[in-house]
Formats: sequence, C-alpha cells, structure tokens
Amino acid sequence: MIRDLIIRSLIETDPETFDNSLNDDTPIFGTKGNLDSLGLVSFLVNLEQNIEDKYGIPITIADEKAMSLKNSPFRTINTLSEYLNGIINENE
Amino acid sequence: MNRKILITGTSRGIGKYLVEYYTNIGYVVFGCSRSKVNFDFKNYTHFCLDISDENAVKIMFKEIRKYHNHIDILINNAGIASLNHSLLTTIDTIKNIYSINVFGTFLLCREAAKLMQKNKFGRIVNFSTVAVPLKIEGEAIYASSKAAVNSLTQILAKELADFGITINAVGPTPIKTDLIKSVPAEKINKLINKQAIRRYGEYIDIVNVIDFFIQPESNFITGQIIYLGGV
Repeated sequence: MIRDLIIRSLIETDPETFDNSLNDDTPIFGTKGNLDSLGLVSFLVNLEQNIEDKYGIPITIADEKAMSLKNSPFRTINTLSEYLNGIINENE
Repeated sequence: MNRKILITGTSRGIGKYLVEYYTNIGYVVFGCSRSKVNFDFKNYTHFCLDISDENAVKIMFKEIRKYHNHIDILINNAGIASLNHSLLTTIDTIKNIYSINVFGTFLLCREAAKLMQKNKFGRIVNFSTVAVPLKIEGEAIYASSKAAVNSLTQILAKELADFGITINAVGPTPIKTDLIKSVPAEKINKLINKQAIRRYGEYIDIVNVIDFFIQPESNFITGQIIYLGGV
C-alpha cells in the first residue's frame, strides 16, 4: 500500500523526526512541514526507489506536473498518497 | 570492503583502460557502452545501453541497486567529439553530441547520486576537455557541450555536497584514442603547442587525476576542473 511506502520512506529519511505513529495528516513539506527542502529531496528519492521495488515501475514523483499543481501534493501523507495512487494507476 | 565503481564508455580507449586499472586494484567495476565488449575481467559487469536513453539508464541503476545495493564512484567517461566549421555543422551532429556529452552525463550523475545519497558518500568524476579553455576553432559544438559539463559539475557540487558526494572534472589534452583519429596531425600539434607541457596525454595522466578526486582524503575537493598539460 502506497501509504506504508510513504511512511517507510519518511522513517528512512529522518528516523529522528518520523516513527510508526505517523498518521494521514502528518505534515511532510510546506509551512507546517517536518522536512526542509534537502530532506524532501532525500525523501522523494527513497520513496521512488521503494515504489520501484514494490511495483517494478520506475517513477518520477517531482515532475513538472507535481510542481505546478496549485495544491502541492507534498503537504501531508494523505495528499501524497492520493497523488501517487493516481500516477501508479496511470503507469499500470 | 571493495569499493564499487561505475564507468561509462568502457568499450574502448580510456574507458577500457580504466576498467582494467580498477579491476586490477580490487574494485568492483560496472561499465556501459552502446556496444558489447570484447574483454572480460574478474569483478567486471557490463551493460549495453545508450546513456542518453533515460529509461535504459534507470534500468541499469535498478539492476545495480538490486544486486549490488549501491555504488561509491561514478566516472562519466563516455563522450563523443566532432571537428567541423560551424557553418558546416548539422543539427543532427549537435543533437548527437549534446545527447551523449550533456544529457547522458547529467542522467548518470542524477541516478548515481540517488544511490550514493543513502550512504552519505559518493565520488563523481566528469570528463571535460582542454578545448573549453583553449576555445579552439572547429570545436564549437564539442567544446560547448563540455563547457556545459563544467557548469553541471560546479553546480551539482553545491547541490550534492550535503549528501557527502563530491563531483569534479578532469580536462584531458589530446590523447591517442579513437576520439581524435580523424583530426589532422597538424591541427593536433597546433593544439599541443598551446599547452605548457607540450606532449600528448597518456591514460595514466588521467588516472592520476581521477585517483586524486576519488581518494577518501579528497572529501574537501569538489566542483573543480583540473586541466592536464598546463592549460
């Protein structure tokens, strides 16, 4: 499940900030976010690799589409899950 | 633990030499080129691909990650050259040179850095050329593609520093390889005469700079372009 991969990738990226108590509304990036911009880069790379391992498809998360959305998909675990489910469905 | 190194453009010339050199001193070496290779070294794995093909590059890194977990070093040796007057240069030539020298180099840097960032350690060495500072007529496209490599090297150095990754470039002089075989001797001699040390470069001259960049003690050296021959 994509939500689990997001949580695993967050913990891999910053185990001091994130643990298994994360919930759908946990902020990732933005005004209330837990990651700085460099942390976001690391997190997205880890997440891309975890998705590739799970689904067998190379994926680029932070493409121009994601960056140009009015509401950033990187705000919370929930917003990112929804966004990624859409991408994976397109690729499958 | 043996260090793992990926070298591009290993089918011949300096790339092939680097494979032999680094396997001989105990590295685990991965290499790639568009064609198959006619050699086999212990601890060498070859991939056939066009480095400007993003999907093929991603698949190679997926394989490396799956079976070998990570790499420590990337040497972006693959490159092509063209010598022609700008008024006679076709758009296809330009696209071809930029695809390999710029797009390919960038793709390899990006995918390698993704693997390296997990370990907070990495060394990337790009290939520039003395044609950039010497601004040689007839090499507008080749030299400008390598000028782009210099810029990539210097900017990625800043972007990747926090991940423990250094990235530098070596700028060789003419070496007797396939890259310059079609260039008239008179042209090459004119170029060599612009060097402080007037001779052809040797493979070992390049290896010497690469070894300096990749050694653990060089963790404070990044974003540098070292030209050979005193250019």
